[in-house]
Amino acid sequence: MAFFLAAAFMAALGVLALAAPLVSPFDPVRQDMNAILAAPGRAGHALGTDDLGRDVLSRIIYGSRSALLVGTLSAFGSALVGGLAGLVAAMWGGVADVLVMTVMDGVLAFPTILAALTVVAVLGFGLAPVTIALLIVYSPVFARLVRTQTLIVKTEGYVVASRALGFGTAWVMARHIIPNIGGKVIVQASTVFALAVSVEASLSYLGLGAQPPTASWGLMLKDARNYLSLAPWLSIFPGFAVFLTVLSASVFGDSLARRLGREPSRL
Amino acid sequence: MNKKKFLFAFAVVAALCAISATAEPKRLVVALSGNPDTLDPQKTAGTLTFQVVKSVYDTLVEPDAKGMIVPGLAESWQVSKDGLTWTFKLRSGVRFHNGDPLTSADVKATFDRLKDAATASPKASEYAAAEFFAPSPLIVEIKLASPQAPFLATLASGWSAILPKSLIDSGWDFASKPVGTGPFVFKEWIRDSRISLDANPSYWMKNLPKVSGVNFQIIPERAVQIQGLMTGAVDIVDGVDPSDIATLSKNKDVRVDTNLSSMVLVLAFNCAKPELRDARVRQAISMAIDKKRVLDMVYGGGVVGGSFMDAGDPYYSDYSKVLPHDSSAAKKLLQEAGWNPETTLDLVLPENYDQHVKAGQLYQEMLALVGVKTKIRLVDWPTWLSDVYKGGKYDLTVIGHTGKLDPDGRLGGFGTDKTYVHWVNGEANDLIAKARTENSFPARKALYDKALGIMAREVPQVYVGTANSLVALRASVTGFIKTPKLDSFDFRWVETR
Repeated sequence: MAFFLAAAFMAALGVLALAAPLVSPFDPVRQDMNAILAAPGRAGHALGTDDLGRDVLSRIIYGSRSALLVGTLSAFGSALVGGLAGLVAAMWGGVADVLVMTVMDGVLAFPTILAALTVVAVLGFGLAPVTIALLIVYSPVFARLVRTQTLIVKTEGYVVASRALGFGTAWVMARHIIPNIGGKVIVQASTVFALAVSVEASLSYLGLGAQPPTASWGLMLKDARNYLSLAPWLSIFPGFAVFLTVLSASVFGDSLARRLGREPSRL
Repeated sequence: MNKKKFLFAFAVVAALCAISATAEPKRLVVALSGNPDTLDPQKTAGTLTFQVVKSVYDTLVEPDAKGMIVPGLAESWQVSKDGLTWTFKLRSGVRFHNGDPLTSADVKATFDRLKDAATASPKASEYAAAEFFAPSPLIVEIKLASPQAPFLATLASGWSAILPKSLIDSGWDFASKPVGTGPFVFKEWIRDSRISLDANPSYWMKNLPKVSGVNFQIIPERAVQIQGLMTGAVDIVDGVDPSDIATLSKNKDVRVDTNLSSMVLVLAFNCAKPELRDARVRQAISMAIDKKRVLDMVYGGGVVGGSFMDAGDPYYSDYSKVLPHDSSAAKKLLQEAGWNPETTLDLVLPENYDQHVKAGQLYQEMLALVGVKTKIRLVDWPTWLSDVYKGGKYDLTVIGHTGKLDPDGRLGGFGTDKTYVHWVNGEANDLIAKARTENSFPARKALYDKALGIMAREVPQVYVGTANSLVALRASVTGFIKTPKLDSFDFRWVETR
């Protein structure tokens, strides 16, 4: 039940992000001087306006683009990079294994936000550096997962048989290993997606992620800080958006894991 | 056993009552919006520093509430006929916080340190043409290479604070532990938390200061500053936003003082960039901006002056009609200048100034309406100083220019490539240089009027206007003064009822 709800929400969010220009009632960066800090329901703005007269609902809708883009790209990217590293480490073993896993362990040792901050400090502020930072930070998670799973699958009968029959490493990886560990990777990816959305919101809140006037939920929370008592709706709606998205992605990952009969990995 | 416990408890309570009965009179709590980069007055131009150290140091002369220069550590002074030799007579009996008596040797040592290349003071150039002598313990003689009208104003500014010679010679860490002759003695600086000052019991102004101490609480969030004010945890909040006035007016323990500040707000151009070299482009951008609206929405209101001088200054003239708000005229002018609508200008904003960030977004919108595209880039303050102010890595930027006691403090260097806007105009620079050497007010005003007129037409910066200064205080606080022009805090006469 939870699985379907979560999946439905994620799908709806995806559609919203794609169809933003069609669904959004206003331009998210257009400033309406006559409707500054309007309460929800006033002047045709369903969720109110902010201190520059920009429509909150439109910014929430467009904000889904930033969140989904960063979340998807970093989850996908880190799965690819980390997964490949883990695969290489497991298949080739020896020096390659030690080298790759030492690097991955090094990155994993850093607290997530600190590591992301370091990367952003080097690359500059913005959503692109944040995505790259998250890609780097979450790769070790996939590297470990894929390496462990590959080591397990490697010893299965059908893999041993294939190798004995002379099939090359690449073929074995593609045909046997990846399909068998794919499920777990997808589950992990949903968890990473949830975390990525949360971290992107945090970094934008600190002013290091999305730059004004981009619509990003984290940036909306940052701007709303000064109006907490005067205009609480500016904090409530973006906060709710982040909360629902992260919750849905986490629930999706957990229920998928249960459906596939396996436990989700813990970070 | 019970009797013993009872007696013990009684003794503790009695002791506590005794302690609270002899408790200190209330200390003043002032909100500070960040950590100063240093507390050494010679090593910075940062306002945060001077807001704190004004209370720890004194200067030879100081500005009174109207901006006139009056005696400080010097009780009188004379100028020679040729304007080249200034003689100051120091007050006697003044002591530094470490007990050293104030003598002319301290004054000489102070300015020698300021001019020393090793100190790397951003204000060293203001004293480059001055030589200091200490012919007798209470007489200071300053010889100038050429007559300089702004010289007295320079001596009244925060960076001319007098330091003790003995500590200068011993290489004292003035950056973390200021020691001066001022009304307050430095107690401690807990970074990111607070800076504490205690009242100086032997201050040379009798019976001042009136409060027992000042705690500068470092609170970067304005909303938290306001909350602190409302609950009484903070007594003074400087730089209140217009959106806070609604909340503040509901609380009868709080009042808001609105005055015209000496801050001139600008949207500055990097005039060295090829796209911005044509004055018509800059003029069009200036006309695209509704300056009154920006002042009212972002900066708490103010006066649109159209000139690089604050509206309350005796040297001010109103140039607001030169480039009024006119979007269609702006579009025409851009067309004339052959503006390429595909060009995107780099608009750099200092992220620690909420108001400038907000104003930047307003400018982006207003410029988009006339067909000028901009991309906003937020940078932190040290990066703004190094990349924008010193490095010229920007097209447009938003900043405010604080007041100066002398117009040369604001205008000096404009018209040469040495300013951050890289605007070169020989005529303007000649006028400004000449005004520096004139001593009579009418002569200087005529020269500055012409120079300001050129700047109002050539717009190396869009002059949005002079901002209002909004200070929120607890109703029980009286006597708080913000030094005119310098915007530093003077707590000497503050009382909390």
